[in-house]
Amino acid sequence: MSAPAAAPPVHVRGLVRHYGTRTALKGVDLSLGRGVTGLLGRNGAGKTTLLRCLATDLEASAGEVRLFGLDPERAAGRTEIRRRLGYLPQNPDFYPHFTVFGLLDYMAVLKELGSRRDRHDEVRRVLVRTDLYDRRHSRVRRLSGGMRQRLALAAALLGGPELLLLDEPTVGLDPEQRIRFRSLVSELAVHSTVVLSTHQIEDVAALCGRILCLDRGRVIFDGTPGDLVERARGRVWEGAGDPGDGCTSWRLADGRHRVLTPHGTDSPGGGFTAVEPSLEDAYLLYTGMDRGRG
Amino acid sequence: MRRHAAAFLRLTWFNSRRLATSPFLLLGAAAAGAMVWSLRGIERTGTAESWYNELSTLAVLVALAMFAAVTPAAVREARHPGTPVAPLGRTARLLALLTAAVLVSCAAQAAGTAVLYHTYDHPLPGVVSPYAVPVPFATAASGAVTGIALASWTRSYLPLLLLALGGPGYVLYATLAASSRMGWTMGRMEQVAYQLHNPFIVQTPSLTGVSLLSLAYALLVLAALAALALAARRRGAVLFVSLGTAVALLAGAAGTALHGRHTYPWGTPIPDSEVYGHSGASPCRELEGITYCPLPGYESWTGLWHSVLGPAMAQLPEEARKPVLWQDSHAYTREMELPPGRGMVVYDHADPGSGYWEAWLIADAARIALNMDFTPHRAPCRATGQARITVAPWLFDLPDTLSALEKAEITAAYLTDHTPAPADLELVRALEELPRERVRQALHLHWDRLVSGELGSVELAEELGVVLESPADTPMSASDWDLLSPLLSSQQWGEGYPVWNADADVCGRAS
Repeated sequence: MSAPAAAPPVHVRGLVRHYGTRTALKGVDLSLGRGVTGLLGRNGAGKTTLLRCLATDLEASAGEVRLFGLDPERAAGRTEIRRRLGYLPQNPDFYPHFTVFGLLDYMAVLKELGSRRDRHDEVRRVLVRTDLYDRRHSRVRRLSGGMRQRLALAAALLGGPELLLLDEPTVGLDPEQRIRFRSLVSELAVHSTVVLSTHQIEDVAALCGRILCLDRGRVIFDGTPGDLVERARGRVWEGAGDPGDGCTSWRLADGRHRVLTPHGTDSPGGGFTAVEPSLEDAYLLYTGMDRGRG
Repeated sequence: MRRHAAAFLRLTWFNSRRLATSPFLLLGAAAAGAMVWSLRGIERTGTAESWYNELSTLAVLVALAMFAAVTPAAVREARHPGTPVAPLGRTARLLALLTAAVLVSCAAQAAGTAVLYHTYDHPLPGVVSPYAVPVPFATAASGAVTGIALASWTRSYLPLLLLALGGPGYVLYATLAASSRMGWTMGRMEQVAYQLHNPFIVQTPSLTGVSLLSLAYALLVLAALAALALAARRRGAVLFVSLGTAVALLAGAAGTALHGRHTYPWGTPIPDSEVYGHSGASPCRELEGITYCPLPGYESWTGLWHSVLGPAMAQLPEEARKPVLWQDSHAYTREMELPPGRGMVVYDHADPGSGYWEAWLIADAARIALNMDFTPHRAPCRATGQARITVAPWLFDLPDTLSALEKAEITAAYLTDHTPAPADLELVRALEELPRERVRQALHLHWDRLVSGELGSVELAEELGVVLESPADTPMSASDWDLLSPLLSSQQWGEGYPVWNADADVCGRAS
């Protein structure tokens, strides 16, 4: 099965997904090209459901999903998509009695990678990239949480996927590994489409050229990190006083408060001055604003 | 599609390699080999059927080992998918595991088959239909497929745990509870398990029809188990189709079993034409007046039988009635043409050199020659005090490898059939001490009176110059066994070897 030459890697129109009576996605539209796209949203916003639909793990209840121009609801299309896809699920569950190498070799077979030699070369490559090569003979059950997360990433990287879907990939990684992860994803994004769902705003800030904010099954923001930050300008304050009710605020290490004012640019009170917003401020404000509107 | 098929083959190979090196299989194979080998000693002369029976035993052991070997892989597929999205989907992965499990089971069974085959002297007597050969392979594979089905449905190691506990539990039952009510229950369960494994009444690999039915049953059950495995944790149409297929296949297996039981009930004579490869030629061959009718495939045993019967019958006069020996199968009733008064039946096992088997063969032939109303499978007649009762023990050429007690037991087993008098026992013992030619001449001289039953033991003894001190007109009692051998009395059986035939008819007197 061949895909249309100019088809974008991800094209979604009106995607709806129900779980029984609950609707997790309520008409999502998006189109993604190369680069890293960050998927932000509160718990239950629909991020994982969207990723699972893109990963062909879930079928859409309604709407249209096209990956590389192919329809994942058709068996042939689904198989071809899966060949070109890497997916790191939220809770990867690996058979604990495999060795690290054995597991990836098994995954490589499932991904239809070629001969034994090619497969093993590819396994070694992803082991090096995820800094797991020295642990290749370890049993999966003996790995720490962070190592398992890297193993899941290594599995997703097998075969050099054109579309990489990462659902909270940095959970459990130490700071050094997170830096390595960012570097790796940046390299991959040169030739691939990467969708990164995370609560780690720093990762999004460091990696993503585009951000999608989801809230209750809808895309409420689609733009660059700069756009999002710009929307928060003039609504982030720091000062020594009590901001009172109706604002999102938290106490800083020096005893002052940082305050977000969702409904306007007025100071929350005397002694507060406007400061430069961060992406985290912007994300909190945006999801909070939407809630205020709804 | 080609890429998909290649990946499927690679996954099958990947699974096969892991299964083949599973410690469960390696340990199981070693245990199976040791067990089958230890059972080998029971029969001295190998036959195609005994080889096949070993394959069936081996298949059950391979099935158990593969059940254990495949469970971790099945749990892996059911509980730890690793990645939910790959070109090879869940069904393909399960099919690859099923294929690998069947291949490794068959490879293990094939290795055992070849090893067992080469440990026999060839050619092996008997017939194994080519349709029967795949049956143990299907049995061996069914263990792995059952393991996959159970692990897929339970998503746990529970079936393996139950198997691990079941083995020691069964041994415990066999040693502690065999006579209790639980023992009865376990006995019934054993029976059900055996019937499920092979539900046919007639079970032999030599009959074409039975082999085909067994093969059909084994393959249907195997396919049903595979369908059940594919149905595990599925929903909608896949579940409906898989379960429907499994039910249809099981119904087919049950139908095959019922048809087989109806077509081949116990006791109905089956002609040689139903034996695989039977040419239709007459099975019988005559050697020195003795007619031998072996089962198809057992023609080489004619020499074996004649090496025992020929020398024994040569001790008797020319006019002595010669037996017509038909070989029956232990697994089914052969259609035989037994001439009244001359027919004797042997089975498809032989134990040359043991003494017991040879004595039993000579005893039947002697009963025919001595006109002792012999009919196979009928209770023997009573010949208390008759000299002819002593002839068969005199003909036994028991090997020196047997102990004196064993020789006495063999003789006693024959004599007790005919309710001897104490004098008969005395004469049997005396004949052993006399020169054989002298005894032979006496038998030839009085042959007519001997076979008519008129010649008593006392008279024959007098003829040979032996004085019998015991009574000849009353059946012996248990305490009389020491007249034959002091080793017998109260040694093995407390109150002596039982005399069981005291109320039987007296052996015929008409020649």
